[in-house]
Amino acid sequence: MTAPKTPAKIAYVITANDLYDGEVVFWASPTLWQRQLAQAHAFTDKTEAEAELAKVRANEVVGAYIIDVAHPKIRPTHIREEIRALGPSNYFHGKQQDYADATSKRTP
Amino acid sequence: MYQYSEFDQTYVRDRVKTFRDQVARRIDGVLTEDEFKPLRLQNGLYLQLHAYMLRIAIPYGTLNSKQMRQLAMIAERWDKGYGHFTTRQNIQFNWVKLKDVPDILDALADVDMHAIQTSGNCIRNVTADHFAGAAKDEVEDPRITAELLRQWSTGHPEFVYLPRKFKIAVSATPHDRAVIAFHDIGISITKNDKGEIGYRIMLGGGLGRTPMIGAELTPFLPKAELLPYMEAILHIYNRYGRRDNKYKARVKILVHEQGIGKVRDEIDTYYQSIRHRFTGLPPAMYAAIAQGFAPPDFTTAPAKTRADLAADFAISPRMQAWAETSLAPHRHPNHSMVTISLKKPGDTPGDASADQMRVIADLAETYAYDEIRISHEQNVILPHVPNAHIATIFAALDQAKLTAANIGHISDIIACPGMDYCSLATARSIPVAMDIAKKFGDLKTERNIGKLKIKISGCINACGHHHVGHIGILGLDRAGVENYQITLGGDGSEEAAIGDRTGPGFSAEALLPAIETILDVYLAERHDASEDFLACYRRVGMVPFKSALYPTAH
Repeated sequence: MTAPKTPAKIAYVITANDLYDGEVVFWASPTLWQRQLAQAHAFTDKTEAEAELAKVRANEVVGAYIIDVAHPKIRPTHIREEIRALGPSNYFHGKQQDYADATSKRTP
Repeated sequence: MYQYSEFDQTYVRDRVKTFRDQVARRIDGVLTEDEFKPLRLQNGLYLQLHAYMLRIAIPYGTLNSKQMRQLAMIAERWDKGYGHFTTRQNIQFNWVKLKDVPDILDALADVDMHAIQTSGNCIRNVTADHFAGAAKDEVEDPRITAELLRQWSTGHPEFVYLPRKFKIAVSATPHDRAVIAFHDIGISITKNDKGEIGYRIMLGGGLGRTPMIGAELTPFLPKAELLPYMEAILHIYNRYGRRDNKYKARVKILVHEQGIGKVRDEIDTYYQSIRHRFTGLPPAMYAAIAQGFAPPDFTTAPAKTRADLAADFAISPRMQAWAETSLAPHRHPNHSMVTISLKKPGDTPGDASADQMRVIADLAETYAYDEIRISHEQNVILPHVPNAHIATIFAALDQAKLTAANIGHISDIIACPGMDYCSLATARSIPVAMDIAKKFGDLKTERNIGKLKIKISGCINACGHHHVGHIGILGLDRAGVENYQITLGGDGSEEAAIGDRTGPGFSAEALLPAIETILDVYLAERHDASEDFLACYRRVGMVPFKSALYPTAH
């Protein structure tokens, strides 16, 4: 996992952690928090993202905030958010498990 | 082993019940996150990058087999099958769900464990030498003092909202394995000229963004005066510690800004004013605590000394290599202390699977007087192992992939969770540790390099103790890219030293070659293999390392 280069186009995604299990979630308007970044709604205007952030269903999540993403293929521009979107790099679990065949799971 | 009293058990159960109600109210939306956050932190529950993380206290790093098995059960039932042992002798579970936490806390209470005071601005889990009760040159078991402090500090109403967190460590041997010089209070149990046992107290040590070596507050405090004197120290810190800036709120800043002389005067003045209130610890109470740490009857072990193990080693060179680093001399000649490495090259430092926890629990119960310790170096110790059982224990640990022969060597790395898990981190630590261990962790290379402690932190808070690593690595964020500063010459022992920065940091890709360069310089500069890395660095200084790391600058 290498640090992403700054993309030509930046968009904005609202992210948070799920209240019940702490899972990283992304806002996919109009009404849903989704667990995969690819399903997030990307705002091209940060003001719009900020307005939406004020309205999202905040009580189901903790610590909602806006991140920069590459656009149109949504990808975080900061390695921290890349790790949040994918899972830890030492074990193949977390979100990457959702993306891949369960048989490839690496356990300690 | 010390058993919780009925008072302790009732207190812990009440706390779980209260927190269960608080969790329910949070899930129902009655409590907002702002209201709930301080409540969950008081119960060791953090929200990290991917999930909730529960930090569980292991007072002075001591566990029995029943407790270790319960941790294994929790790992399997409510987490992803493993736990992470920390640099404060605690354990963290990285993937718990909020709704499950009250049940986890009840399961912990079943075995006299909890997560109280593992977070927040209070007196945290009191740590101690991981060889406590087994080391040959110990004045007395430091866990007696640590347990006394645990009882005194737990729920202490005056010290629940300190300016910042407060960490205490206790050691009772000339060689400091508990890093006491880098704690808010470091206690060294010692004897005076009359042969009386007392305490040398150090104040204001710490790591983090402003590393400081603790200053001596008093060279000898009589035992009976410990609690009132601690009360005075904490009172003065609580009164004068800075609350205007969280980065300047630790007691080390107070000592640094005011000077140890002035702080000592304040403490002594207050101490004299409250001293009369303390009539002394009831002897029966102290005796009951001490009895909880009474050593096992070592005379029941078969007669077999360390020298007698040579016959076992002759048939297993692998066991011999493991024993060279993993066994330490015990106070009784027929026993050894066994350190179980949780640093197998390629694995995550400090992690143990539920199966591995059960293997350790079984071995402790069957062969080693049911005692287990966790070290701040993120390893597990069986403190009292009859030499007659060493071969059996090696075989069982080997089956469980727990026989990395690297204790005190380059692949025995301390690493914080870093940006793979921690919401405060600015860079990853674990993959760095894994890469270094894989590169240099083969037996031949490791033995050639000799004794060397590498410590890695993923942010300036220094949970990975990088300031006191012989080689310290600090991960930072440089415009969204991981960058690693290196320090050399740090030392967490009684010769306490803060590492010196080599210079500008290195990218993640350039870090491993930089470590290799440092090792090459050491191997070229050392007198011979008997001069370890730290001794060599102290003799030759930074210049040769710097010249090799930054050739164009010279």
